[in-house]
Amino acid sequence: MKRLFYIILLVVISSLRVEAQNPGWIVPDDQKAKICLVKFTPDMLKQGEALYMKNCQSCHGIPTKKNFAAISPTPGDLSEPKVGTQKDGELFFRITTGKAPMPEFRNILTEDERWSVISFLRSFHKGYFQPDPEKMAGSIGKRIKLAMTYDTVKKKIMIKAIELTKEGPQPAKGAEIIVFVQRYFGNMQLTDTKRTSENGFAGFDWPQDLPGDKNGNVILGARVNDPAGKMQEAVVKDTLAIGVPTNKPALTDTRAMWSTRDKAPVWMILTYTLAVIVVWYFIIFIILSVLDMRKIKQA
Amino acid sequence: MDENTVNKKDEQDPSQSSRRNFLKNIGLLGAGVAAGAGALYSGDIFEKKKAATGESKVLLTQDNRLVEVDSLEMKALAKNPTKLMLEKGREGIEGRRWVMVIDLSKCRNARRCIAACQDAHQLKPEQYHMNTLQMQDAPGTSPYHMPKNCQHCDNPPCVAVCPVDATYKRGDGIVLIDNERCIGCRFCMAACPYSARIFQWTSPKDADKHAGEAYNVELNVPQKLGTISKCLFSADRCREGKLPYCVSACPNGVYYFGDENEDGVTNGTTKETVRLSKLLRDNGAYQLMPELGTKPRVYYLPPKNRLFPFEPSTD
Repeated sequence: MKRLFYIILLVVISSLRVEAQNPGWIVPDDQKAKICLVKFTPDMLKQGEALYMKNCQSCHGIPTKKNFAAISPTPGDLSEPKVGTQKDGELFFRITTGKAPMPEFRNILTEDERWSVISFLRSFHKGYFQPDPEKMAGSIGKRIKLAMTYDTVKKKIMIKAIELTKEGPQPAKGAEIIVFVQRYFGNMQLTDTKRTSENGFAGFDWPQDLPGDKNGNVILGARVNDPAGKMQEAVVKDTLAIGVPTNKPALTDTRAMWSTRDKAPVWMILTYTLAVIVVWYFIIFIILSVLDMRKIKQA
Repeated sequence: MDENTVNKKDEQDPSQSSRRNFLKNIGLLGAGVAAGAGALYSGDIFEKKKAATGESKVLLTQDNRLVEVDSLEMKALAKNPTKLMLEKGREGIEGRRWVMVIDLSKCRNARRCIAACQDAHQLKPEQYHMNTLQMQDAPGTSPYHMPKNCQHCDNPPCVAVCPVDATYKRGDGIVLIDNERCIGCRFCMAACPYSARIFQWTSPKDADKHAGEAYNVELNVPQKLGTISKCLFSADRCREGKLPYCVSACPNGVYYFGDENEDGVTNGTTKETVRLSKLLRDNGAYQLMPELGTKPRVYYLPPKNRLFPFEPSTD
């Protein structure tokens, strides 16, 4: 009995050790199955290379050169078979989510950009064949098209999701939609994500105080949020005049002490001018008085 | 007579024929030369055109438009590039008011912001545009790290005291310094309540290497001996639509940067964009020494629920 207990304990401990050695960057199965929906092209590879050099090279080094950064955990060279044997979906998931100290590229690279980085990495992996997107199309399922309108009565942005099926377009039910507003340094998500209703619509409350440009124009975008990769990434972008018209003057337009001469405060200009006039008045007064004294002397 | 005339004719004939031939030859030669010249000329034009369409370059114009220009049609301006950059640097980016938000609860003194800043602005390791300070507000309270840079005040005392208009504020809120004008009087250093400015007491970093380079007022490089230097909110990066050097270098999500007019700020680490007004309202944002009336453009979020325990700096 005691022996059995020890055996069980040993098994448990050894399994725990395996757990510890594999410090879980586990990719869910549905993510592993995700594939790129277009064939990798030389253009994609080129774009991927540029993106890699900008975003990844500082840690991972140049592929095949093994000049990755000496940090812990080691970033490793991405041309190695350890990476090459992973599925496209795994690489995509790892790039998307990151794992400290590797940053997540969810908001830094678009899906297309992440795929082009993968296409660049794949050019180093011998024996890699890209899964044919057309053959796989059945298993990855839905192709979604989005349309955006603004409901002036409900003050909502209405997104209509249409699924392109073999039988023709049909409203897509239950698609998770993200709506974002373009700002100078990035896209700002509007409220939480919403799922489309039976007839393919999702409504997003439009904040009535969000600034637009001087005509109130804002650039809006919507996309399907689909981490499982069951739907093809669909994006719609539009400019709508629904923001608060914002045309604030430049900060240098107001008169201030610190500003340049032509933007000096009025009281300062007046006081200064008055002071100059007073000083000159007295100088001229004195000169005239001296002249007068000479005249009196001569007379 | 007849013979004579015939003879004369015979005599005259060769002369006549030679004149005709001469004229004919001249005509031919002229036509030939004209044709040749024409061919050469058109060839030349073709060559020029070929060269002109051969190589095109994409350039950023002064009003921030990307244009494609042919390499042959580009003419170097006699104007000094430093002067051009100075003129451009005096005007802010239209319709923008830059604002920075620093979340103190996320800072763990990684000092990447400092490194990126010093790298971009050619600063020595002991010179800071951006620094992280160790703070403790009262004896019983928890210490925290506080990144501190120029606050780009809307009522900047440093600009008011400058006697030579070297430091100035732009329409988009950035306070810049023109090292070509600066006389090194250090009035601005004395006026700044945030101690944001540094003085180049000794020869700047890699001064020999950068000698003779055109001066870029939006980057403060090359740094000049005997003048002031300070944080510029990375005016050059803002122009390109990129986040400042420090903001994008932070690994911990401390910095938000954006446009107050748009009410949106973007986190440098996650690149997530949020509403500025909501961020400030929800987190009890504050400014440094607002009682001085300097109206800073940098906001701080208090070091509440710190993500990282306080570890005193080793350097």
